[in-house]
Formats: sequence, C-alpha cells, structure tokens
Amino acid sequence: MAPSLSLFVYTLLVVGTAVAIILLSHFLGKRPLTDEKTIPYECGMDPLDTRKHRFSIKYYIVALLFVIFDVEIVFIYLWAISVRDMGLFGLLEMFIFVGILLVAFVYAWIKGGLTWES
Amino acid sequence: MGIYHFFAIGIILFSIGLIGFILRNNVIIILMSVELMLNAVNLLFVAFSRYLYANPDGQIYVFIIMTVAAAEVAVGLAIIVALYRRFATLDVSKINQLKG
Amino acid sequence: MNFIAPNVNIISVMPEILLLLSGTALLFFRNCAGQGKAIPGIASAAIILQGLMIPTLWGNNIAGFNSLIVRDNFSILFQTMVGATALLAVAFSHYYLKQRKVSEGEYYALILYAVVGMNVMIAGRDLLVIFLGMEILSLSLYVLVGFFRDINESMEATVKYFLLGAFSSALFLLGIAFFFGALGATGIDNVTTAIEQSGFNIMLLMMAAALLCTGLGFKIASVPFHMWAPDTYEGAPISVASLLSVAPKIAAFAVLLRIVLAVSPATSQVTSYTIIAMAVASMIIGNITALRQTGLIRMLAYSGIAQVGFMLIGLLSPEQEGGPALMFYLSMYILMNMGAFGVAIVFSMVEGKRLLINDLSGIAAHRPFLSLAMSIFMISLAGIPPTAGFFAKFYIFKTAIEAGYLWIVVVAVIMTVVSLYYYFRVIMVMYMSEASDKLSTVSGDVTVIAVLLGVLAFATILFGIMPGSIIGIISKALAFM
Repeated sequence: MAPSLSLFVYTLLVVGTAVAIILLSHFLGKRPLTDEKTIPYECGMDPLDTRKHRFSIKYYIVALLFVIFDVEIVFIYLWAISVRDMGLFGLLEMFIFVGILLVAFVYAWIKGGLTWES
Repeated sequence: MGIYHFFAIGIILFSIGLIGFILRNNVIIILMSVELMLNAVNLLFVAFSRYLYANPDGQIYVFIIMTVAAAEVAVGLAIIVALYRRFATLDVSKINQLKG
Repeated sequence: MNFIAPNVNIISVMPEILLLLSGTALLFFRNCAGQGKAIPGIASAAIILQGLMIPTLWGNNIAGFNSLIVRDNFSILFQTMVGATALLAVAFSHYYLKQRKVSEGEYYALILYAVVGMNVMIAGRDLLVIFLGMEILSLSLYVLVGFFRDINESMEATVKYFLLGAFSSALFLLGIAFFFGALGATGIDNVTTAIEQSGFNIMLLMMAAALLCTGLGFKIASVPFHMWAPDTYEGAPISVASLLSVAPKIAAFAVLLRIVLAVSPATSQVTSYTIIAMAVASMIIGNITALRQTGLIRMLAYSGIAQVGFMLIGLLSPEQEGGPALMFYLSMYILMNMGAFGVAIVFSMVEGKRLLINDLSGIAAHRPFLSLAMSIFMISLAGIPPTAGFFAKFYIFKTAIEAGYLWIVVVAVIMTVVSLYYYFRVIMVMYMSEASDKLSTVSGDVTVIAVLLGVLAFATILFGIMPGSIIGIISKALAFM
C-alpha cells in the first residue's frame, strides 16, 4: 500500500471514529439542560469568578511531580529512536533508568503525594 | 543566518536573564530569569554544535541540561511554597530577618 | 551507523552506587517507629564503607564511562577528605536532631546524596559530568538548609542559597558552553591536545575560564560571590552549616585545581588575574567584616570566606608546589572548622537559638574541656605556630613567594594579623569574662561529640608539630600531575 493511501485510510478512520462517537452520544444519551451546560466551556471552571480564587495546594504537588516525570520522558524518546542499534545494552540501560524512576515514584506514593483526599 | 546570529541571540537572552535576576524582587520572577539563562545556554550549545563542529554532542547536552533545570525548578518551587507559608510574601527585599 | 557500547566499567562508581542505595533505603526507613535510632548508624556505616572502598582503588587510575570518570590518586585523596567531613557532619547532626522531632530518614539520605554529588565532581573529567555532580550536591544542600520548614530563618537561608546557587549554576553552564565552543568538546583533557595542535578559539576559552572560576567561586564562597554565605550558615541548622562550610569547598577546589591546571597554559593571564582578584578580595573583606560580627556562626562564616582567600593563593602556582599546599590547607581546614562548628553545636544545644559570642562569657569555668578545644581551633584558624593552621598558611605563603607573588603574601600576612583580633576575642570571652548563666548547664548526653572534638583538637596539635606525614601522602598523590 502506498504511503499516501495508508495515510488516507488512517484519516478516514480517525474522522469516522470521532463522528461516530459524537453521533452515538447524540442519539443514545439523555440531554437534560442543567445550569452547568449553559455557561461557556472553560475547562470546567466558572468563567465569571472572583479573582481571589485559590487552587488547592494538593494540585501543586501533583503538578510538581508531573514536571519531573514528564521531563524524564525526553530520554526515553532519544532511546526509542536508537534502541534497535543498541541491542541488549540499550534494553538493560532503560530498565535501570525506569527502575530508578520507579523508586522515586514509590517514594512519592508512600509519602502521600498522590492521594487527593487526606 | 549563521553562528553569529545564534551566538548573539543566546548572549542577549542570557543577559536579559542576568538583568532580571539582579533587578527583580519577586522570587518567582527571579527563578524564571535563571531558567531563561539556562535556556540561552542551551541555544548556544546547539548553535556551536551545528555551526562550528560536526559534533552532535552539544545537542545531546541540551537534554541533560533540560532535565537538570526541571529538577532545579521542582526544588525551587517547593522552597518558594514553603517560604510563602512562613512569610506570606514573595518579595525578597522584605525577607530579611537575618542581618549582616 | 554502528553502535559502540560505552566502556562503563561499573567498578569505577561502586562507592557512589553504595551511597545511593543506602541513601534510598533510608528514605523508606522512617515509616516504622522503632527504626529511627538506627538511621544515623546506617548513614555513617555507608560513608565509612565507601571511605574504605575508595583507597583500594589507589594507584590504579580506574576509568569508567569512556573516561568521563577517572579515579586517580588526586581524586581518591579529595574524596577521602569529603568522606571524613561528611562523617563528622553525620555525627554532629545526630546530636542536633535529637532535640527536634523530625523524620530523620530524608535528612541523612540527603547528606549521602550530597556526598555522591561531591564524589562525581571530584572524579569527573568532563565539565558536563562535573556540572551534574555539582547539581546533585546543590539540590541536596538546598533542601538540607531549609529542612526545618517551621523556622523563618531557615527558610530565608534556603531561599537565598537556592537563588544564588541556581544563578551560579547558570554562569558555570555558560562557561561550559563557551568551552564547548572553543574546543568542540567538554573534556578537561581536551585542552592539552588542542594546545598542541593550536586548534582552539582563544577568546572563547578565556571567557570560559573566567566564567567557570566565577561559578565555582559561588560554591567556595569567595568574594565577590560570598553574599549568601553568612545568612545561609546562620539560618541553616548548625549541623548542616558545618557540612556546608567545608565539604562543597573541598569538591569545588578539586574542580578548580583541575580546570586551572588544564587551562592556564592556554590562558595564563586571565585565570591567574581572576584568582588573584578573588583571593585578595576574599582575604580583605572576609577578615575586616568578621571583626564586627556579634554572632558566633556569622563570625565563623566570614572567617571561612577569609580562609578561602588564603587557599586561593595556592591556585596561583598549581603545577609546582601550590597544589599540594592547597590540599594540605584544605585537610587542616576540615579539622579546625569542623571542630569549631562542633563546639558551636554543643553550645547551641543549651541555648536553642541564635548564638552570640558574648553568650560564651565565662564558659571556661563550667565547661573547661570544650573551652580548651574551642581555643585550640581558634588558635589554629588564626595560624599560630604550634597548631596545624600555622603550617597550612606557611606552605601556601612559601609557594606564593617562590612563584613571585610577594605582594599577595604581604597582604595575606597583614590580614592574618587582623584576624588575630576576632579569633582571640572568642578565647578572651570564654576565659576572662564574668560568667553568664545562660550557657552554664548542658542538657543531654554529649559523650560521642566530646570524644570527636577531642580527637579533632588532638589532630590539630599533632599535625602542627609534625606536618610531614600528610605532606608526604599529598605529594605522592600529585606526583603524576
């Protein structure tokens, strides 16, 4: 199959799935008109709010953990493009790397950094 | 477009960060200035490695520096939150209980 | 493109792996109640164990990670010094933390991580590896300085240390970028080959040398990059301040020595002018400012800045006698500075808050042993003959005169005389003032710390009488350079 043809099929699949899901929920779901639905959509926040609104401090800890673990992904991308050439050595290195990350993750978990309710 | 353009913009960005670090009083803005300096260095690394040497090492260093910068930001923001809880301000000129 | 696996040679980083594993184990330790008492023991055991592993690598020049890390005798000696300092700091911390109910696992884990960072800095042969080591060290120390989040001073100290530390990292990194721009590689040894083929950009290399010295100048707290030191030492827990005032300086001086040795043949003027400026300014400003301090820790901080000024003189002739003299000074500095901080910890256990020099008045009558030890450390820091501090200064001055820097030695001697005033004021206050009852009673068991202080004081005198043995070891370590 030529690359352009496979790309075309892929695009059709993507668009088709998206349209199908929207149509399905349109026909199958109930649609009560609540207050929440009448306001403009802004990621779930009330767009007309006082400026003194504060985020929960728990949100900040999750964000901090996200920053750290997200940046580590950079190395996995680099590894992924050359993993075939590196063979067993590369595989072992990635296991060590992910193992180190896992220890940090378990520590954050035990310390309660991931629990939302306290 | 050559090495001099990238060198100049790297130095300019670094200087903006340096000036921001010296002049601003808000801790978060100081932290952002330091990040700007680190990213200016990243630009220099890429420019040197692309234009001066056929050596891709400089582009790899950028990833390592990005990781280090992220770790620094994480520790820094944690310190800043703890600081705000104690002092209820982020203005470094008002945080001076230790006098010299 | 064929992939060539790097020569990792895991033996070369065995001590660091040991420290990291035990440090990480300590992180998970604090959950069960009864285990808390073992934590300092485990931390010191890990440091002692890695301290025993390092000398077994002596003389082998073990290289790892494609020679990014080389354990030559030079780095083994510096790493032993760092290990000894960390061990003392762990012992001090045990007493300091006992009065505060805190989860200690993280505290000792961070100390172990800081040691890993310093070991990487010392053994690293590539500037980027050195930078990574510096960041591991700095990030651990930022958290340690602000470990007690409920104390305002501690938070202020950590935010000052963090901001200036991050700033200095950025400057150091710009230096690495210029270095890379000048040579096309970041290995320190690349300078030597580049000089032989004269294939480097001299302007960029000079800027790189100046920026690298600046970045490290923050870590060793030399003037004009010293602003953080007094506030940070005073606000930090004293046990952390004792570590902070000695260990990072050892690691940073190791890196400085390597960089100066490699770079100065290419850019001799710029590096030596930078170092002369830093040395003279540190000696003058450190000593003069220390004169009018009332707080004991603050006085020790400025005295540390002044001592760094003396040490920097050794960097002016690194390839002759300056290197060994600097190393001797650093090892003696561990003894006397850690000793002085140790005494301060015992006194602060009584007082519980900011310790003024005048609080010590008449303490000699109640605590004769501690006062004697403190006097020995002060005399040694001042550089009076029967102590180690005298020979440390003597060797440094001698090398500077041989290298033709007479005027710097004259400044240094004048500043040594100035320093007598504030060092002897502590002794005067302890022995000749009226007793104040503030510090007269000491609560808690201080046996171990007292024994440690006794050993430190004894060693200070011993190496003052016979400094030859240490000098012999150091010369052997530097013979190859």
